[in-house]
Amino acid sequence: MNKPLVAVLAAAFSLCLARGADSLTMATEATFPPYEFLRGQEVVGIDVELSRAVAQKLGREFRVENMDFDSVIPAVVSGKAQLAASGITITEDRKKNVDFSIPYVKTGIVVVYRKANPYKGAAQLKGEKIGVQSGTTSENYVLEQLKQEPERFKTSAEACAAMLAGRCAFVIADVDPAKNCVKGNDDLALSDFISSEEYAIAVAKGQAELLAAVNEVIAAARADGRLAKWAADYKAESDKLKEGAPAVEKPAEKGAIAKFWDAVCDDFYLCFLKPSADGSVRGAYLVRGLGVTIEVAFSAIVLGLLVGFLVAVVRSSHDKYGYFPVLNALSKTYLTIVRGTPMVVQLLITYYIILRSVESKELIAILAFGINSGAYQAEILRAGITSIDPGQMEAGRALGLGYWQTMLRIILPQAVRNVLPALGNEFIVLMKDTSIVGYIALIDLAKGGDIIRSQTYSVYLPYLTVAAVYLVLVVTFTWLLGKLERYLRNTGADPVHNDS
Amino acid sequence: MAETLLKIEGLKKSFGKLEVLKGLSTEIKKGEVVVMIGPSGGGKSTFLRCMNLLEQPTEGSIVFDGIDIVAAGEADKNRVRSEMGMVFQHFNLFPHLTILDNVTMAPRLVRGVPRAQAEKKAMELLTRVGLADKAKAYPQQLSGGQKQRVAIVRSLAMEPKVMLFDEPTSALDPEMIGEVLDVMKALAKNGMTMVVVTHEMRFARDVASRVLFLEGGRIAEEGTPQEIFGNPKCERLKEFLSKVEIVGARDEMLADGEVDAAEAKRMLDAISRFGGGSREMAALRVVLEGALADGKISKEESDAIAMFMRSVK
Repeated sequence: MNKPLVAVLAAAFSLCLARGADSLTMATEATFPPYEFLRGQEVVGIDVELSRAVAQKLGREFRVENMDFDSVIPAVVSGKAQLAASGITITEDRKKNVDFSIPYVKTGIVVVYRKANPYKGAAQLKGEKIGVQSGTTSENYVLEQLKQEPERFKTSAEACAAMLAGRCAFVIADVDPAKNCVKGNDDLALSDFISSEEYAIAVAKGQAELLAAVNEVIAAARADGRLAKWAADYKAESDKLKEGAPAVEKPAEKGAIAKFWDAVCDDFYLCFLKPSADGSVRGAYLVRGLGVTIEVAFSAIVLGLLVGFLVAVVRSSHDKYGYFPVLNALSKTYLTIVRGTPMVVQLLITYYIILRSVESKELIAILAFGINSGAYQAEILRAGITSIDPGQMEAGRALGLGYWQTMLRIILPQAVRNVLPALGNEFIVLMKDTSIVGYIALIDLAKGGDIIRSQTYSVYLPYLTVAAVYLVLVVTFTWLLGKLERYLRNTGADPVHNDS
Repeated sequence: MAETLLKIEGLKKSFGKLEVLKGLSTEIKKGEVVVMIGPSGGGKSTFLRCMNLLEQPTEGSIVFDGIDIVAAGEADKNRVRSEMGMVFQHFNLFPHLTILDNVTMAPRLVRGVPRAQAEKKAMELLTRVGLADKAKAYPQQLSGGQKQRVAIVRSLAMEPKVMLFDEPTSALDPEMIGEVLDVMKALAKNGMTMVVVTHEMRFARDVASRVLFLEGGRIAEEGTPQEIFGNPKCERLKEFLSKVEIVGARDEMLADGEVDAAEAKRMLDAISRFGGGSREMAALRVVLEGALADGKISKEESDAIAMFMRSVK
């Protein structure tokens, strides 16, 4: 360093110090609610309240400098500001440059475990099924630290319920929801933070007096409940701002359409194509999810057809000929229960109660949906069977065919043809209904889109893409069904005219 | 004496409280053509349907192949049915299958005949009834008469020991009745044992070896066609035959919308033979005799008679 430069710097430094003598400046980046955010032009938030309290304590004028986060610590190092308060996490690297106050926030993630299966250390987590709330840091922890796929649930409470049902070994959650879960259940306990963050205010090295004042303010604010109150108030305010905030309009540099297009492309890249740390892209969620949706939907349709055939034959045989009284009673009970309860509830009951020992969630979903759809298909097929002229059964029997032979070879083919449109409709409903498998932590197409949304905070592209894929699925299926219908119509007789 | 194929004794059938068959006994011998006639509701069709157990008799026995099939188990019943052909009034072809598949289905499924062999046999039979060219068609593409011929072939494909016909021509347009009756006559000529419920008296007269008159759930009279038609004994049979004859004569008169002298003579004959007792019949007789006074029937007379007939019904 040459001398003139040093001189200039020293002058600047002393100038700053001189200015600092009467005012206390807080450096922050006001985009981190509820710690600091903009209310109109004014920067407000928990950090602002704390820093203002320090200024009052010291009897100095309070100022706030809003800057890039990268500049916040250099600002105190350089003396441009005295306090760096921007939700700054204490790290070893930063400690080399600044002194930290006592932390005013400690947050992080913990392991929730069953007392029957105590958690002893992070090594235990590897390879186990870990329940998390999707879109949280817990999910990232499992993905990045454990390098495995978590079991994703809508809430941490749901993840804990799944653990109690034996569906995952541990749950990782933010400390607050985790505490809530444990509060409600004596079988559960919490670990220490497995990953934690402490926020503190940073001051320049060697400012012992200032640091002491900051520490006193933090301790006092925590003790008298002000800290908690600020946290609550600013959280509420920032949440409200988020909801009602009008989109920030930046001056148009390009045409509106070009800008929109750029935004869509950026969003598309972010949502589907941007490689993450391990090299995977988010679009893979949709591709794998589509696979799951198709697998579950089509297997359930086939299972539903089998169940539907059996129940329809039993019911119509009983109505027409008085066969199978016991099976008929069972079938009627089955129809009543399945058609009388919501699909989601059936899925959850299958998952948590009936098949709780079954590992494969795909299998559980297929069984739940197949059995549900079977009830509807049974009634559709029964209508089809009833519509067939009794002479068809008589002709089959008169030729020496058995009852089931006649049913399978003569009655059902005609019955199916008559009710194909209604069956197709049921298939379509089933295909779309599989979008609720997210409830049992199965990642299908809809859940895949939801995960992308939760990771990118982008809503339009993930959901619109998911909708478009479903639409393509249904349209393709409808087209195939139409072909089948035409094929059957061309080969057989007019189904209404049974006088053959 | 030919061997007995079906021995029916004390057969009763009730639907709920309604007793339709009140104890029927008869024997059907190999090669016989038994025609059942009688008024509607007399139990003809029910009797026929009991023979192959489409209806389960309430009481009585049917001995076929040495076993009482009324008391037989399900497997035996299926076997028995496979050995009795049945032709229905409404054909009951399987609309979702081709004609060839309609014919080959039962031999393949029930008898386990290989497809090629079943199809070869089916084509032979279809050729016999003149429908070989329809093998690949579907039932809907056939006329009523063709459908019924296919239905007969479908039964024949199982090589039945007896064929049951349940009013096989009742659902057909008049011009198609002949082609079906011709097939049936050919079958009878070849020695097929047949039990036929029909209203075609001419068929009964020409083809039957025995005629049963069923009335009120009982066999009221039975005998050769000559005995039944030439010398009916019981009053109900006489009444039935007169009605049938008069209806037959009327249908013939009205069939082409024109009444000619021969038709009028047949009608007069029917009225004089079978109780012209009713007032309408007496009036009709006067009309016809008046019209026939000059030995022929003019266009005006034809129209007048037709109009009168329609008003009488």
